[in-house]
This record gives sequence, C-alpha cells and structure tokens, in this order.
Amino acid sequence: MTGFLLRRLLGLVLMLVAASVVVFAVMNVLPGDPALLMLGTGATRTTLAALRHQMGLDLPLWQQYLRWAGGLLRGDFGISYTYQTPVAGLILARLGVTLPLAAMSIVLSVGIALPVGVFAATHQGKAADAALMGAAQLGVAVPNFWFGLLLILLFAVHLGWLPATGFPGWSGGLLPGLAALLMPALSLALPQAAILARVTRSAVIEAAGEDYVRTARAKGLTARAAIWGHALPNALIPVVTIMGFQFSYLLAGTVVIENVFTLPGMGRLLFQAIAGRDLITVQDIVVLLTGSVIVVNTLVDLAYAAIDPRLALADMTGRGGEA
Amino acid sequence: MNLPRNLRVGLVLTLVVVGVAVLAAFWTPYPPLTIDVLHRLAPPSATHWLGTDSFGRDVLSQLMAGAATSLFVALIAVAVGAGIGIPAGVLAAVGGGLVDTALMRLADLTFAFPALLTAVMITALRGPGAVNAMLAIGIFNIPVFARLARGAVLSLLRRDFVLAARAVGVPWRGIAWRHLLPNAAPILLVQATIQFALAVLADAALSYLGLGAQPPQPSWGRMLAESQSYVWTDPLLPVLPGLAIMVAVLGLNLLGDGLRDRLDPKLRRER
Repeated sequence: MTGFLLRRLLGLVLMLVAASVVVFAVMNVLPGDPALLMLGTGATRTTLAALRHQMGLDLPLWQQYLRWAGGLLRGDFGISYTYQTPVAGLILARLGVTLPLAAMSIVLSVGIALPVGVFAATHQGKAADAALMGAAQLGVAVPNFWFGLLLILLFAVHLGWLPATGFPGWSGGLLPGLAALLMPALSLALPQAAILARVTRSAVIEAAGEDYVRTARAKGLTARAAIWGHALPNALIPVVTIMGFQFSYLLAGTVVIENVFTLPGMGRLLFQAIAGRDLITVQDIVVLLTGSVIVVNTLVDLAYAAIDPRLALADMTGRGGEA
Repeated sequence: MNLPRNLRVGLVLTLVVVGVAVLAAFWTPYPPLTIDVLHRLAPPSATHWLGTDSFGRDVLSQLMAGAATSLFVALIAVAVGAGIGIPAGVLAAVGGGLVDTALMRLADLTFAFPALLTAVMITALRGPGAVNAMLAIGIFNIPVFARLARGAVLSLLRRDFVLAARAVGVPWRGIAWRHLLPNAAPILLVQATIQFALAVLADAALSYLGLGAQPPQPSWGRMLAESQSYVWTDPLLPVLPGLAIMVAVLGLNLLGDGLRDRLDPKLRRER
C-alpha cells in the first residue's frame, strides 16, 4: 500500500510539472507577443521594450519558466497587468465564490443522482424508470448556461423568489450568499446529475445481479437494505470514476456559469483577464484549475484503492489500472 | 427494419438538424443578417414565424444559419480528434512498449486539461474565431479516440484472424487497414457520434462567451448571449437558441446510444 501511495504521489508531481510546462509553453511559445497583445499595435518600440523587460520576456524561455514556476511554489503568482496587484490576492478573493459554488453543485448533483439512479434501477423497465431516464437523456443535452437562464426565467422573473444575478458577498450573512449561489449551482449540477444518475442506475443494476446481493436477500434483508447496503457500495467505483471526470467539466463550467449569473468568481476573473489581455492572470488561473483536476484525479485513484484494495495490489504487480 | 426507439428518434432529430443546416446554405426565410429596426422584437407571426430580435433580424433564419455554423465547427473538431487520435491509438497498440507508454501518458496529460478551459485559453491567445474553436475542441478529442482505438486494437490483436494474417506475412500496414480498422470501426463510430454532441455543446459555450464564431456569422451561443438581457421582456429570444442546441445534442446522443445498442450489445453499459 505504501508503495502504491508513493507511486501515485510521484506520478502526481510529474503530471503537475508537465502540466505547468504545457501551460507555460502554450502561453509563451505560440506565436504572439504578450507585451504587444497588452499594449496594442499602437505601442512605441521603447514602451514595448520596457514592458518586455518588466515582464521578464527578454530572458531565455527556460529562465522565464523557472521564475514563474518557482513563484507559484512560493505563492507568488506575479502581478496582474490590469489590476496592478498580486494575482495571488485576486485569486484568493474569488475563491470565496467559486469554491462554495463548486461544492454546492457537487452536493446537489450527487444528492439528485444517487436516489434517482437507485430508484430507476430498482424499478427497471417500469414507467418510472423510463420517465427518469428520459429526463436524464434531456438533462445531458441541456447546455448549462441555457438551463441557468431558464432558472432565472422561472425563479427570478416569474416567481421572484431568488435574485436573478449578482452576489451580495458573505458579509451580509450566510443565507443571502447561499441564495445567490443556488441557481448557478443547480445549473452546473443538472447535466452532471443526469450523467451520474445513468451511471448509478446501470452500476446498481449490475451489482444487484451479483451473488452477495442474493445472499443478503436470502438471509432476510429487505430489498431496500440489500440495495443500499450491498449493491450501491459495490456500484460506487464507476460512480466515483465519473465524478472524477466531471470535476474537470465542473471547473470549466464555472467559467461559463459565473458569466451567466455575473458572479465574482475565478471563472469571471479568467474571462475578464482574457478580455483585458491580462496574460499572467490567465496563465495562473489555467495552471491552478488544471492542477486541481490532476490532484482530484489522483484522489479518485486513491479512493478506488480504499473502496477496493485489490486494485492497489493489481497496480503494484503492473496489471490493472488501465481497465 | 425494427430499429430501437432511441436510434429512430435520434436519427430523425439528427436528420432534421442536418437538413436545416444544409437548407440554410441555400435558403432562409429572410437573409439572417438583415437589420430591420422598424420590426425589432416582433413576436412570432405569419411573416416572422419565430419573431425578430432586438435588431429586427428574423430569428428563424438566424437559427437555421446557426445550425450550419455549429455543425460545421463540431464536424471539423471531431475530424481533428479522430484523424490524429485513431492513428496514434493504433500505433500505441501495435508498437507497444515505450511508444505505447509515451503516447498514453501524453493522452493522460491532455485529458487533465479541462477542455473548455483550455479552449478559452487558446482562443484568448490566438484570438476568438471559429477556426480556433475547432482546433481547441479538436485537441481534446484526440486522447478520447486514441484510448478507444488502442483498447479496441489491443483486443483485436489477440484474435485468430489477425494472428493468421500475421503468420502468413501480411505487413502491418495491411493488417491495420484490412483487419484492425474495419473491426474497430463500429465502436469508433459510436464514440464519434457522442463526441460530436459534446463538440456542439462546447462550441455553444465558447460562442456564448464570445470566443467562437465571430459576428456577422450567426451562431446559437452568441444569439443566446445577445438576447440574454431580454429574458425579462422577450423570454422567447434567449429560450429558442438554447432549445436548438438541446435538440441537436439530444438527437446526436440518442443516435450514439442507439448505434451502440445495435452494433454491439455487449457495450450497453453507459459511458
């Protein structure tokens, strides 16, 4: 198990380094001069040279990379061109919106998907199953930003229950903040819940046919107890796998959804940074989001091993893992 | 022929969307871009079936032209992904060893980047536009096809007819073209349909953010973004383009699921 952990951690570090190199390369090697992008084509040669020097663009690329990556490790993310303040502070301030938003949508997604999936599985072939899976099929096809708009139409325009857009901050108490995040979180959660419900359903159906579920029934457990206590835990591996994949979609989704609801989060910061040609901020946010995807995927791998220790063993002997 | 229901519905929806997109190339009720301020924000009527937007442009004509844009971007994106991903996957499976490891780690790395996010980054750097949107979405289709092709080929390599072909000395190129690809084609086709649906969604998101096809080229995402502020007064305006996106994606997904059920009953498990 320790060997498995060490291998995974080493893999994690390598992936993080590789990802940061790729982000840096994409931002710096592709044709295009960041300084020129910032100043526009009307800039004079001297101001351009001054900005290039200030940004370290006159150094060799590998030195620029080390400067940037080393800074990241120390928590120094560079200075935003637009705001003229440290990027780290900008990002930190936005996390107060994006993290609760992401957490809320994961909770909503799982909270919807597991009961729906299990219910559909236990009513396989019946009308309820067909209706729920039809709804899931629709849910997968709905663009989340459009669903957000439909929510605004219903809850803000027609019913007037929730604020349409904007974020009051956490200073006014927990409730107004959560209320402002509810519709955005739901918009992010719906398509994910739809996929997750389908995966849960098929995984539970498969597990329900296994011997241990029959044994559990034979020893007198109710169908409900056998499903929730025995089939569902065994169905969790595919469910957790998909949740791991979805995390990446979730992060990307915040970029869009925060713009729909004009929430002051990381996604909106990224979008504004792009519009304002604030390249260092773009680079930092992208590497941060990608890094968290890599970390979450490693955690998912570790979660497998916790759910099913045989997988860690298979990995050690050089088999499995690819599945 | 007794086709499964999801395949039938998916086929019909997809054909409708494709048909509309093709039709839009030759004919739309009005030129989609013609501004008519006298008839701005007109409700649906006999002259403008789905009404007009804030510039007086005919909504139906714009939706039709948007279908063409959207499908074209998605098509190229999937073609980029399949065109690079499938050969890479076959190479990894056949090459084995170091080639396999290197290619698959590269696929892992690409997978780690949230697709939409990096598409945002690429369009930010290279400027927004349909071509960059295709590229950005296409890059993230590469590992999907590479992994799938690799897995399919690995299992085919152990089959008797491939072993027999190798035994009689058919060169690798011949084996790949004649035995591996035709047998892996169904599963790749299913995935291509699903990826097509995802690409339509990704393109919609990019153009909603203003990073996809640029004006004056009509696109569903931008129609939605431009009409969003009319949700209080003319809710139909932002609702319609979203509906169009949903119908297109739903049709493609059903088509993919139906094809999967039909071509390979063993693969019925959800993605």
